[in-house]
Amino acid sequence: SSSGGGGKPTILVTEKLGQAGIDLLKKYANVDCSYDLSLEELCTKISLCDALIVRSGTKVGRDVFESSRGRLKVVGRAGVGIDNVDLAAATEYGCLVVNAPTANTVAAAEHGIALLTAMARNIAQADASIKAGKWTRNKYVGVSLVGKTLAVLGFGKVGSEVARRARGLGMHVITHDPYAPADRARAIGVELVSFEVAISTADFISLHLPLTAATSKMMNDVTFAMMKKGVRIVNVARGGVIDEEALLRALDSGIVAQAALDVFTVEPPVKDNKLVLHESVTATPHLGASTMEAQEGVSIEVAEAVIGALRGELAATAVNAPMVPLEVLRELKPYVVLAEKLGRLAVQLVTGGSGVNAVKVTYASSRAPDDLDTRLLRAMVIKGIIEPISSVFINLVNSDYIAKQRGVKISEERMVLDGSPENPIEYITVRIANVESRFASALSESGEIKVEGRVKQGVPSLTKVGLFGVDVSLEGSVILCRQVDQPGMIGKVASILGDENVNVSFMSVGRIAPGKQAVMAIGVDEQPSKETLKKIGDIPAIEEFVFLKL
Amino acid sequence: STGDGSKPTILVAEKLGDAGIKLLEDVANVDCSYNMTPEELNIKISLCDALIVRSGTKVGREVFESSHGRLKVVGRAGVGIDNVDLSAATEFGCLVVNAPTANTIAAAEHGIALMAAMARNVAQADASVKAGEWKRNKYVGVSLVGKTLAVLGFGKVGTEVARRAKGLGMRVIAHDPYAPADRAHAIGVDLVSFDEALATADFISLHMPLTPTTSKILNDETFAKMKKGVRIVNVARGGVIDEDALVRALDAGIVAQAALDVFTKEPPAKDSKLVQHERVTVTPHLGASTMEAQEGVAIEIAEAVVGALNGELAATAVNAPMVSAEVLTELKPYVVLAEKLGRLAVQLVAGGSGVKNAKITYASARATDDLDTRLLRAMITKGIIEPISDVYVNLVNADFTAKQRGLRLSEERVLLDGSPESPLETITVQLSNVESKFASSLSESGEVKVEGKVKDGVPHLTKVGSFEVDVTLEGSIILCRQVDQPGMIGTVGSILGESNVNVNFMSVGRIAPRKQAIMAIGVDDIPSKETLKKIGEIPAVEEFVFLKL
Repeated sequence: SSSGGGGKPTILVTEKLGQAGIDLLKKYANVDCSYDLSLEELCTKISLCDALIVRSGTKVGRDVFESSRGRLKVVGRAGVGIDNVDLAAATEYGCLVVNAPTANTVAAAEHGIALLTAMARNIAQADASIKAGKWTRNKYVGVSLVGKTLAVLGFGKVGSEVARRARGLGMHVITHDPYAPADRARAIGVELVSFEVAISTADFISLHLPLTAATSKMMNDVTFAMMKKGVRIVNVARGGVIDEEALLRALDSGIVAQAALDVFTVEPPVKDNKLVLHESVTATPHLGASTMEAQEGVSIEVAEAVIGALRGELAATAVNAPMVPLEVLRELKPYVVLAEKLGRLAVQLVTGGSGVNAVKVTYASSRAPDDLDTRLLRAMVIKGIIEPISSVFINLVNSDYIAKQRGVKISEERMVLDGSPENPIEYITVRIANVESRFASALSESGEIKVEGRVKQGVPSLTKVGLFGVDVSLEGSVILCRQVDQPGMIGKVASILGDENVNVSFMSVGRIAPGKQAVMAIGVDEQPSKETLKKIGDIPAIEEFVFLKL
Repeated sequence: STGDGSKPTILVAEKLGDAGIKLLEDVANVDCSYNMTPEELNIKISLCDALIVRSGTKVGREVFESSHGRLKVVGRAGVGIDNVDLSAATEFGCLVVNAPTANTIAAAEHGIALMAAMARNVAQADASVKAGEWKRNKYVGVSLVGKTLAVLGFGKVGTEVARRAKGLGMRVIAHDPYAPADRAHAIGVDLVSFDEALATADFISLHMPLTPTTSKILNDETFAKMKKGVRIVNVARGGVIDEDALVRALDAGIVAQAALDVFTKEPPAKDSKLVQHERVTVTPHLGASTMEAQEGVAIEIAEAVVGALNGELAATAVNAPMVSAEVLTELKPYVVLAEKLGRLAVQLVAGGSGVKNAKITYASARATDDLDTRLLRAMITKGIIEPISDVYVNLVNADFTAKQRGLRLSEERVLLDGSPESPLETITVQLSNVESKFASSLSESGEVKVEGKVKDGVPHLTKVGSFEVDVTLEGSIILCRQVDQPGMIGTVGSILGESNVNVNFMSVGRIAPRKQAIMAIGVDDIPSKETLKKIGEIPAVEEFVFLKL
């Protein structure tokens, strides 16, 4: 390690980094490699540093940022997970956080292929058998890959690389990913299909999905039942995507012939884990990123991102967004919250399964365009739309990049109002086109999901859903009901919620004309149980309703 | 099922895939009778035109005798034909076919599976996790993309492995003395020398037959030429690797990892160091073991048997029963001569380079129409190819095999004046574009050249290069070139005598008195290395070579 002064920035590396990464850093900065620092030592050193690079073993909490007294500009995480970095503190102190999410792509794809081929030919089982002194050939007859159908679920970087290699092995590859551009799949000879077609057609399934609310236990008893008998499954993505108890049942019943797993819901798995010990399962200990080349690649990637950040470049791998001036941030804060919540509301109104491709955001404001910077607002709308269905972190820096990567097109529209420019924004409208809705009343005249909101006394409020005016604060969660406008509806719903100890924070009814249909919007502090929601749905006059978690 | 009528009857003596059975039933009556005793087999065979077996049925001379000439073809579902008496089959005019290509895809995929699993420690990691461990740092692997794979042996399986490795982003080079360069280039593979392949490779995948040339071709010497940290996969033949040398190379770190599906001895000893080695992944000869391959073998053998019954020449025939008895009787000594000349010629080629061009000259007083040289050409092909390969060459498959190996044969007839009493006067074999282990065997135009005759029913070698010799081709031969001086015959004769090597024939040919001469010595036994060394140490002996016939 070396330390020095002068015009060069100083970078502190607190955990072992590949030599290639270190060499890159040294060309640009003074590099201090100090490992196994205590927290006190770290806080002392950080006050002299412009950047910090860690792996997963260093806790970068608020005290580190405080100690840097504003000098620390960027924290680089060599790898993907950023659980050990306090993002809120980093943002508060104007420090960028970058990670290295792509260097492991090839390693993960190759591990997927290694597991696929080894599983098909019983390599691990046969090896253990011979080493135990046996020579049992009939037991380990395998299956050929050529001509078989591989379904790649999740067509991001790793999924695409797996697909390419499987094609090279003579397989027919199909893929499902609601965000994958069809032309990109077609470019490597892969057919984009629906989820149901993918799982019912496949001889082999390779999982490359992030773990989200939508994908949690996506492979379960219901989906296993839809698969071909004798299907084979490989998972090098996220353990929680498979319901492990259901997989065991599927293996024992023969629906799933074999599985190869590198990831588990609990890691390490418990010692007597039935899945790990299963004869038809090949298991590895989360080795997807573990090649010598990937470890070197991570060091290069994070070094490049840190150097870029020190030069003021916007990094695609930034995971926070510290770049809005403080005064702007203070004024916009409630609108930022509003933007994110509108995005989150809108995406939850989309019928599950279809992707979101076209989003239009309208800002109504009395200020001149030059006086209103909507970058942060747009980023937050994107954050609201994408984060519930993905595992990426969205911020000002990376939001546009992520949206493009996911095939989400955002267009912005300004509506200039007459009036006092005292407030930066009067209202924000979010529209999502080309989708179906779980709540038909949310559709506008032109068939888009449409939600609109304002800030009232500093509090974000939902003011319109589809064609219906409503007025409910966006502080907890929201229940939307469409019902025939008649006396007693409010009391009836409120009683059900009251019986279940669900606190109502806000309630409003919007209608088109007296005695016609109306939309009731109810803000609740707690999440109602399924039974409570069912009771609301059972009220005869209620034609449709939806619960939206904010 | 059993039936009669004009359809032929095929006896299937061991389990065959349904697809194969269906194919047979379309053209024949099929009798599936498993686990028969030899007596039962002999009784049934007299009613059958074809027989299909795997490795579990012994098809000996008594089976052919019992068929009373009705049996036309024996199909072996698989590759090895150790359980079929080929001589008896040929004698009784019965074709033997096997199924050597259906396993190609299965073997290639197994090679890829072993390579990928080895690179990422899949077997080791699985055993570790199943033992309750979670050791991620111990099982860090290596990437394949951008690495160089050397495919040694570029036949069907090697080609398929190369294609798939390219699909995984690897750079592929190949070595095979018989592979056509254009076929390698067609799939983006560079053909290189053996030494270059060894020195350049990050991964080596073996796809060579087991022959005297390839036996233990990976040994201490060749391991020393490899990159440190090389990784080796073998799904071909166990004997190609010197296993003790491999253990040493693994322990020394020259070889980082190995993945083996084949062993010198199968099953290997329970305490085999190689099998138990931490950095070796092993499987029990599963290269052909996929459900699809087993079905493919059934189809391939059914097609070959049906083809043979229809009178078609099968590329997979492993014997040659199709010469009429009278022709065979007359040609027999010339057939032997032809094969021995081929075998002699190829052994004179300096090791390592392949044989691409062979010219055969027949000198005969008979008219062209009266001399069928198919069998002779087949036997020369057999003599050239069999010592350096594990294929079986015969009349039926000789031309196919030669083409497959990139060996081009041309034939020339020299019409002699004289009595057509003997079918042939001389046969000459010339191999061009090669180097020789025995410079005197090179003709004026630089080819290895050998010529022979049949004298009183016995094949003789009569010319080597430019030198006349006269030695019977009954045992093996030592060729020496020496300065022509008194006492040479006695000196060599004494050395051989002391070593108990019986000399059956000896001749000396020279160009002019007291210039260089060639001594050709026919021996009944194989001299030891020490004996040969003594001959080489005689001052007047300038070069010599031992040729096993």
